[in-house]
Amino acid sequence: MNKRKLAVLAAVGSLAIAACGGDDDTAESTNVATSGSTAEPSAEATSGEMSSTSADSGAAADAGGDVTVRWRTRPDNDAEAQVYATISDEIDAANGDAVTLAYEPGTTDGANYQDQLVTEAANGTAPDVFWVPGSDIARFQDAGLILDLGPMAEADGFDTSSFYQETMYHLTFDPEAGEPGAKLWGLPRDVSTFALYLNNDLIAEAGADDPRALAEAGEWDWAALVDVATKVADLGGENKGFAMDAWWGPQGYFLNAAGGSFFNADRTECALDTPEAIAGVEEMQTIFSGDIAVPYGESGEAPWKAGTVGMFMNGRWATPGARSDADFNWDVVQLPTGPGGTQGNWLFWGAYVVNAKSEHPEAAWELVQALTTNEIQAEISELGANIPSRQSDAAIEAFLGFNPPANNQAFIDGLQDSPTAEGPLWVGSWPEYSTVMGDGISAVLNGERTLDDYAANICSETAVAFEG
Amino acid sequence: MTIVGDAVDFGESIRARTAEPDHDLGVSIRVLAVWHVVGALACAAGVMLARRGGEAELPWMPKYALLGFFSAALVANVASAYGVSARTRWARPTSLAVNYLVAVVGATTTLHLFDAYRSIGSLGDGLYKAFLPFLVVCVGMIWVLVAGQLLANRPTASGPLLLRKAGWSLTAVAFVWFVVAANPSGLIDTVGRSITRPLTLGALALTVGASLATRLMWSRAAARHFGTSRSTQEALTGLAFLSPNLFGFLVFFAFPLLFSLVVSFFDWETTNTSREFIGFGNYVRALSLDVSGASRANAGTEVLKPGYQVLMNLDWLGQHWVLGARDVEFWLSMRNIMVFLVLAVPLAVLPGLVLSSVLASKLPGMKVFRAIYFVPSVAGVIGVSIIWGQMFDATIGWINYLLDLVGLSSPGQGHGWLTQRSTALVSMVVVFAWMNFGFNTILYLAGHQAIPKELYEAAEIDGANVWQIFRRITVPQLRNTTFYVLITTSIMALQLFDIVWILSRPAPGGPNNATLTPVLTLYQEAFANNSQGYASALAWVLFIVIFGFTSVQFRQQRDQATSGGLS
Repeated sequence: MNKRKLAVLAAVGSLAIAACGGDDDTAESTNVATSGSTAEPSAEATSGEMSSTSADSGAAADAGGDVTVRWRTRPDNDAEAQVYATISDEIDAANGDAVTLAYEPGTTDGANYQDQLVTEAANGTAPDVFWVPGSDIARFQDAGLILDLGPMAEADGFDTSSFYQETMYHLTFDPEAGEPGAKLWGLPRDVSTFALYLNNDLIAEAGADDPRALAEAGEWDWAALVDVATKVADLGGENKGFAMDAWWGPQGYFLNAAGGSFFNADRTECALDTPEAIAGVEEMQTIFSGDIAVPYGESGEAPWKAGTVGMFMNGRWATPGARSDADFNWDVVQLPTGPGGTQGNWLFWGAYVVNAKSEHPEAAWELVQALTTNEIQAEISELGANIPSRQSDAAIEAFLGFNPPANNQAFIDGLQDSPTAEGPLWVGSWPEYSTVMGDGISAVLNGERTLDDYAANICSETAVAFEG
Repeated sequence: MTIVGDAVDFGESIRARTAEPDHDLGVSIRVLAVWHVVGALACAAGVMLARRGGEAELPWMPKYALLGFFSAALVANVASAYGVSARTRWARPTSLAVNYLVAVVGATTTLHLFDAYRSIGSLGDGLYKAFLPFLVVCVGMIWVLVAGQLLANRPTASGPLLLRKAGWSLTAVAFVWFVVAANPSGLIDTVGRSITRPLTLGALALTVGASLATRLMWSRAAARHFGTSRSTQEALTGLAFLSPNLFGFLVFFAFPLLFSLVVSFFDWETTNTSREFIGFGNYVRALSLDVSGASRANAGTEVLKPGYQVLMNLDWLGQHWVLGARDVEFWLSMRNIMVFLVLAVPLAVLPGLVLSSVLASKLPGMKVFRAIYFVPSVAGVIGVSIIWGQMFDATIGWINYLLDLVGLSSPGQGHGWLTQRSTALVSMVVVFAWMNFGFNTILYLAGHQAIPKELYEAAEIDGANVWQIFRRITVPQLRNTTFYVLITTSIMALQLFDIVWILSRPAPGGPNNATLTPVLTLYQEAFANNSQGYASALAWVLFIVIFGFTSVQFRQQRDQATSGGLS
């Protein structure tokens, strides 16, 4: 063999060693496991350990640990992705080496995360466990992409009572029966609500009342919101009083707070044309046509971070960004009460589900349980991006202790004021419905469509979402 | 080497070939024939399995794909076996093709079974851990190679000998260090696990066997044995050089292209395995329109056929009309892209034409400007779009800020360039033109080089002014370049996706479908609505549009050329 060939062979060999030698201790793939004794029932599990009640993981352990369970979440930023990677390591470290966990941070880019997952799941390459937003549970279930965990949960005696029941309503929903049943499509990762992120400096400069004080006094309503926003906008220049991003969440707040809703009670028909729902759109129209808000459709977060917006509506997930980028005095306040008598807040949630094509469903189910224990949730809460999905005092304490913002209680208050749970559309297509609805509202707020025309036609336009 | 007719026998004539069999190859050739017989039997088994589907009935498409594949392989193997045994002239190319393809497929499969592709992801991690020793290994190998070059000129020189020894020593030590640092337990585990699987062993054996057969048939002895002609040998050599690119083309371009055509005739959803053949159903759905008279302006779907949505309302000939479509979004996207095409192409082409005339001059600093104008073309489209998105921002964007400075807008009253339907598409036009005119300028500059300088000199002597020279000489002389620039820019415009994906607000295609494009529509159909069949049909409709548009331009160009318009 000549030297050139030898050199090439050596180089290739080295690369092969490097390629296969890198698996052992990378951050995202660590040996972890389900082995160990059959511990307490999962219902009582509070640590991050994965119990080894599953047949296949046990068998895998016997076979020498050949099971890899891949899992994925959609983090909102790199810091959050790192937290999940660390948690993956910790769950691994708390267990043996029969199962290898491989954490794959998903894209942070909204709907693309789900679209990619659907394609992967349909082609059998999706992770064993993945997170999906609550509004997409029905889409994944209807396509047969996620596993019904009910039988395994029942066998384990798993108790779901400590999770927010609004989330469990949808996660146990039986589409055939049309009501919650013995199904279990997953466990909620976390929950979140909306609040208004305040630029206290700007509000004070405008001489407006402090929204937190107004909320404390029970005077924080739509009129007060418009008043504060107007005073901030009156400062002139680039300053605006209010901003929100253009998607169904902020739109829905106004509808909910006015006493309306996207759907009828059993979510089988459009309810966008009810007087209450129209009142919500009308309020948005008032705000966005009055030069007191960042134009509808424009990003609200960037100008708020730039210090030119008094109030910006967003969820808890915006907190890490606010902490890192806002160099002014800021805090949060609960959403103002609408004519409907409540905040009309959302209970945003997403769930860990198991891939229907997973080769290790029981190990995956154990991972789902491990990822939703009190300890793990408290750890994630300390990052400040989310509220635990279990109603645990300890986890809530951890969440409240994450400052700034000082007024973390605003998010918790949103949870306690009859929030509407982000929900899938079990009959119909939510992506289609939300697109048509969003276009309709957007046209009204941008002055391209009259409110009357919207009210007269929006439900016939969204009917396409309920067809087929 | 003697040449007899078209045959080259590398030292022997065809007559010698027939008269004196190559005894050196005798055994190998017989083994090769057996190899092909075994291959034929395996393919026959494959055909049987594909027909019966094994334990579970295969869906018809993979079933017929496998049947076709195994049948073709069966025929090729039978032909090769016969040809090799009978020493026919065509046996060598046939056997070579079969074995080469089998070797490539086998190697690919073997690597897959060894989990090699997934390990590529770990390559970075492994190298990161053991980068320093890897570097030292490389240095050692370089010393060895350099020493080898030096020794080739001065075989007895002591310096190179010493360098070679040092290189080997360094390499050996560093390699051990590297192995320890990289910890190849993963590799050992993987190899150990995989090599014991019958499927892996089978794939490995297939790869080795086919590789050996390929090598045998590629040899000069085999060429002599089968009397390969010079032209055939040249063709085989050419194909061998082409094969990597050919494989890439066939696997990653031709196959997906044809596959998408097949898929377009099915009700093919990502999440639904029962894929029903619906003929031209997807095409009919995309292209269906309905026109109805209405008794009032702005009538709704009630006047249209069931399943149709309102595309637009018209008042024409004293009558209200409603134009409906089954897929309104597709037609809106077609309307948008035509508007975009009409606006964006001139904006991307004409400045390039004018600018190239300036940059072609000998003025000082022109090279710097050429580079500057080319920068947008090489900048990443995503990054550029994000920056433009910030510039277009209504409240904190630079464009509104500049308009404020010159008094065309008021602070806080900035226009929502991307959020208003009236300007959203135009904003995309601006970004597209900005990104492409630089490249077009470079193409025009290249065209300028081919214009004879005498034409300009003669025009100047005749007293032509700058505009006349530009109009009468530059533009006609650049007609071929203009044709190319127009075609490529138009195709890029019709395929618009990335800029819209990043820039449009509040969601891709917004506001209210004002920036929806055909490619965006088919992407959303494929990946958001999971309708792969319908999305494929849309892709082919778009292809036909682009093909038709390009054909018309080609025809015009040809007509101008034949009528003497082309200089």
